[in-house]
Amino acid sequence: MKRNRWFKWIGVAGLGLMLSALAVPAAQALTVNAFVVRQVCLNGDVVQVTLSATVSPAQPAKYRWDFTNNGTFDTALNSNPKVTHNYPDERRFTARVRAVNARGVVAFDTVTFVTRRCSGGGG
Amino acid sequence: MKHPIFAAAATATFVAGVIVGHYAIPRSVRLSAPALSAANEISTRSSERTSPTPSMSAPNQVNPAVSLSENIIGAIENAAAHPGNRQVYSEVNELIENLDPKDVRPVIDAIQHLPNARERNAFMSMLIVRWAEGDPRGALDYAQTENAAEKGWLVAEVVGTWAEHDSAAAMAWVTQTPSGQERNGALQSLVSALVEKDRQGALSFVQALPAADQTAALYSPIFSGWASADPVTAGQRALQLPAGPIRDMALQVVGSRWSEQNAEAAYAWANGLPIGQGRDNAMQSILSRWAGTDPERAANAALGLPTGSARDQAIADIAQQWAERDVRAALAWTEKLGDGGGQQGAWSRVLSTWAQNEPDAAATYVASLSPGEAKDLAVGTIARQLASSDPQTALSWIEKLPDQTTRQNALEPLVSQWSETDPKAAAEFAIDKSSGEARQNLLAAISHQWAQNNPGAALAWAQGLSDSASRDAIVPGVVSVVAEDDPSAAAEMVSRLSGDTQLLAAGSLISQWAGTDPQAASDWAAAFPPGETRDQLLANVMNRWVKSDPYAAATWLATLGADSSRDAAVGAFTSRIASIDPQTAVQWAATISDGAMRASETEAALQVWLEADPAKASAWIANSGLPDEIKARFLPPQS
Repeated sequence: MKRNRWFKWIGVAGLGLMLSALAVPAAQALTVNAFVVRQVCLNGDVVQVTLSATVSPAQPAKYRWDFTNNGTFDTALNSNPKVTHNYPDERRFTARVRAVNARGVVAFDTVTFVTRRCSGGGG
Repeated sequence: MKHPIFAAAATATFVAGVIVGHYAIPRSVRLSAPALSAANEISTRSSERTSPTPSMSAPNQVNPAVSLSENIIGAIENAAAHPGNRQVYSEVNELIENLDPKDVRPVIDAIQHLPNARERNAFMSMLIVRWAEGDPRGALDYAQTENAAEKGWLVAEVVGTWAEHDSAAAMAWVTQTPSGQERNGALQSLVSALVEKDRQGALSFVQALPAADQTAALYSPIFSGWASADPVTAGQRALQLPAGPIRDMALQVVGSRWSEQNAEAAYAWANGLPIGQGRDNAMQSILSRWAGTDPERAANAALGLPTGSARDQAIADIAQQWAERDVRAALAWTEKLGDGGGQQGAWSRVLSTWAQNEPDAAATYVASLSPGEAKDLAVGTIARQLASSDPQTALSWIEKLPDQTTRQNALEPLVSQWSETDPKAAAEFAIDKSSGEARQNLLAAISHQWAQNNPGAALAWAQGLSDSASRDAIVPGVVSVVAEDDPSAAAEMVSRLSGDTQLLAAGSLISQWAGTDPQAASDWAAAFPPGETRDQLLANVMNRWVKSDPYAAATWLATLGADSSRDAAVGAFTSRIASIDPQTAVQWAATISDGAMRASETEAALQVWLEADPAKASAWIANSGLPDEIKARFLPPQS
């Protein structure tokens, strides 16, 4: 009897599984998805846009927003992803969010939207 | 959450295989005299057997008064009574090697009464292998009469042994075995045996199998064995596999094995691999192993990787390993990493390791940092680590922090930790002790943990809050956690909400669901009644779907009837694809029914197209049916 192959195989297969498992974090890097929650006209030409974001895999994270994608963050680091910002109406904007999880892994996303038409009142 | 469980299971499997294999493999170890005496005592006590008791007084001595089978049964019973005694197991193995294969069956029958299935199976394994050495078909016939739980691994044992003596016959038998667990197990065992005799032959055999048999697990022993003996050739062969998960795994296995022998050479090899998951996997394995022996060199090698998540991950892994050995050196290295160099992830891992080993020193260091995002994150890391071992210590440390913002940031991991055991109390603490944005941050931090344990209770509690801002801080996190595993259940939760909270939760759900099943997410969003909510949800679906599969997204868009929701979805679609396919974006924008929006989206897409390909864009505009005023705006004046 040379050896016990089955148990040896379990060991090798286990190694394969372990290596694959270890590769998962790279494959499942943090992603963040920004989205528009709603737009509300505040007066004749100003729209309050509520933005939010989710991270995947779902986990606690902190968020910062750059409301016009100009490279400067306009908010502090917050655990609550929901923010509101006032924009002029009927214009196209891109907002950028940066998320960082507890391990310091960072992800970005942008969302482009056209602000609603507000002429004639709020709502 | 899934990844650690998977890794733990894989590790446990691996360790179990190594341990049991360790007991089963040795051939030269002899059983000590006391162990044999113990075996004799057990044999004497046995009420089931009346044959004379073996009285061995030295290793490997067999009592001629009884058969070898009797000696083996006694030794097995002794070994079962001393679980974990390697010497006893080795002696059993030794005795079984001398057993005539045709005498195996009675021994197998005699040990069926052993109470511990794990122990019994270990001896069954040794016995069936011995049987297969002389009579593989007889052993197979026996294995196939066993119950389903035992059959798979017994058949695999026989096949492995058979392949060692007559690989052609074993291969022929396995390839005609019907699909199922038995075939899979037999293939694994067969390949493990083949690879020891002829690595290329084993690879060719596996590659010739039907597609359904082609699994990464089947290739793993081939490349593991090959890379241990000849990593250069193994690396070449792995690279010749078709691109996909099997090749990615093979490259990783080669990298891991190679780095055991020469991490620097393995790194050089992996550096030349095509960019992709396989390269990332191999690099991660190599650098992780290298970091265990020479973290500084591994760290500097990792800095040479292309920018991206694989590099950041590698740098963070190395920093953590380095911190285990020399935290101050690791800290100094991470502090020198610039933005975009994975600095934050690496620094966070070093601090976490430091806080685990020297909490006071780490806490003092972090408290002395200049205010800013880096400090906020560092404070969170330390607070999390302190809270995991002693929440009271964590709270005392937090209270001593000099400024309000930092204290608030430090409280988040503390309440998050608290919410693992008593989320409601943690949430009530947040409501009671904070206000405004700080309260919302605390509740958001609690929501994920609470939702992991009891999403229904989290949602019910949040719905009972009179403060809508607090409600909105907790509900999306709950929905997001539920949506990860069961989007339909999350959708049902959202349907029970109302107002802005529903809108926010629906947005969270959609942005997640559209990443995994955009069709279902789109159908769910489209089922909302016409109006602003539906418009916004469809725009969000499109925003997410286009990132993963713009063609499928466009196909779905084409099914929508003209209305404001379609316009919103097309607008989101064109915004996203304008930078990669501006012509298509312009064509889609032209289908928007709202005149002002159509003009706005078309012009935005045209602008992008003109910047990317002015000649083609100008020609298209000139020949298009666009209004003259738009043409005039984008085309140079005719001379």
